[in-house]
Amino acid sequence: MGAVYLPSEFGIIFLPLANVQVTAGDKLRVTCRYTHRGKAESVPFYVSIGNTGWTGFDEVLHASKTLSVPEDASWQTREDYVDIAITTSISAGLYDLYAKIGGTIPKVISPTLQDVVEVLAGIPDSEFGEISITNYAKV
Amino acid sequence: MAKYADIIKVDAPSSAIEGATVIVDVSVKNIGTSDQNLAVTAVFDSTSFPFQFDYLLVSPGQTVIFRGWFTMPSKNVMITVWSWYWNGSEWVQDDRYEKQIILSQATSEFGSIEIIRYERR
Repeated sequence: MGAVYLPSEFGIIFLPLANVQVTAGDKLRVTCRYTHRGKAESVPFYVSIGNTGWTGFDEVLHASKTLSVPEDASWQTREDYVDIAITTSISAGLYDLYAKIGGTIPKVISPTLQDVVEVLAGIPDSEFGEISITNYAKV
Repeated sequence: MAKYADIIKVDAPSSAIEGATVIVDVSVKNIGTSDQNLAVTAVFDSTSFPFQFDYLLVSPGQTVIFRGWFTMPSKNVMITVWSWYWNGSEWVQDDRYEKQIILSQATSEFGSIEIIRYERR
């Protein structure tokens, strides 16, 4: 079960998040809400699945698209999504999720959602282990 | 209702960035039955700005364009335009028009981003 920690006047709120189960071949749609003001611009919108570690976020899978925002005279809130293809290059386990807007130097980065993506092991390919004669009779 | 100098249109951008030159084209029609000297004056907020012509001699039914301009300040502005006609001894104020010009941002800025949904497709 994933969770996010939110600051509040009572300290830290622990907000449990449901995780989503995926297997290779699926797509994970990640929808984000962001705020913008100023002139129109086209920027990369990037989402990644991976693990948060002491060296930062270790990305395993990611996807991006170009986000085109119109001119906004004041702060505007918008939503958009990115689909990440789940491939066999990710092994089974629990993973974290984060999103960002911008290129090499991000303009904004989302809080990381911990353990919200559970990658399930796929059904293995057809395989025969052994064969032995169990009976023989005249028919 | 104008007597001679009818402002029929004011072409100006609805928004501009700070420091931009804002062009204001005022179309004025002589709705009288004789030639008239017509003029236009205007302000943004309370600051007057110049026009290409001080005045023009306009035939009956003719429309002329007075072009004015100013530098966009760091705030929204209201422009007010007046038309005038010459009565033989003095300029007489005739018509009036107002339009707001919004200050637009010169840069793009993102404030925040958060993941609100994640779902298998």
